[in-house]
Amino acid sequence: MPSDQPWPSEWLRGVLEVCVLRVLADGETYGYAIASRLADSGLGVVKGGTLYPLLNRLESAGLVIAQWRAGDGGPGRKYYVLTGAGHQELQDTAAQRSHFVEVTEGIIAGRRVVVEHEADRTTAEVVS
Amino acid sequence: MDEEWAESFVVEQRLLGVEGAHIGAALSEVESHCSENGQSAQLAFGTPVEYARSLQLPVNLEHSPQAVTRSLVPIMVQVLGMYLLNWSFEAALRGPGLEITAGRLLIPAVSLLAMVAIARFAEPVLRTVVYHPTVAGIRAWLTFFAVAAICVAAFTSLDEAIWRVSAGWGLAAGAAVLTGRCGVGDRAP
Repeated sequence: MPSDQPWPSEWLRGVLEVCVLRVLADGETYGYAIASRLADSGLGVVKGGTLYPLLNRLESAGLVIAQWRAGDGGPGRKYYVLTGAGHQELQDTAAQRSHFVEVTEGIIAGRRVVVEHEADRTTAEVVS
Repeated sequence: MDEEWAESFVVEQRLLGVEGAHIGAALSEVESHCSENGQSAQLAFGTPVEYARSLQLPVNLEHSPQAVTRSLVPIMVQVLGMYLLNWSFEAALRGPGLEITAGRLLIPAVSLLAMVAIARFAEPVLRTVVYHPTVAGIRAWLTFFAVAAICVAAFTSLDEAIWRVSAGWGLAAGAAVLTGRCGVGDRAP
């Protein structure tokens, strides 16, 4: 595994979108700043070839809005800001992921998991 | 930013039918990112072709195969008029009239089919021309000679007249088609 990428790529694929939404929830920012924030937070290097297609998909889905602004003495920057739908998506996905992490940690630790299926959702509870 | 990388990126986006404004914005974002982190576009974004495809930018519908094929319809009508005029002029010189044979009909039919095929498969054809020009050239020549051979064989073998008209009628009809198409073209915005 490359030194600038501490996690398997398949793990990153599953969490990158919610992590980007979370960064944007703190305020509008641009692509390189998002990548820097994720790297500083321990996620490793997120290359432009991965990040910007994701930002495009978020924009197409209406979860973010993008706007070009003049750069500080350099090339312009495209700033992204979370929309209302984006905030809701972050909230929903974060809650679901938190539960998922709890379930997987429980399985790995050998604890029993009780799964209940309802009409519109499935819940899983880790029992000691 | 590496000019060769940028050029390949733009070419690929053009082959995909993406509008110019979107291409420019995407390229500016690459330039901005690379100027911030000091990395090359190849290192930060990977190959230009793969990156261009991964963005899935909006495609200009006017460049779709269907739109291009529709835009060829007036040209195809003109091609038919041209063939009719040419045959009729020859018949007028030779006499006694214009004979429409199956072989004669096959030639404009093949021409029109070739135009539709090129429009329908414009992207893969252009992609071959851009990335494999030698292969494209060889295929083009082989296709041309094969089609020409078929047309010549059909023209000489399928020579029984299906329809006979006066050369004057053929000249008038051919001229009317060409003139009418040109008139339509002049009025078009």
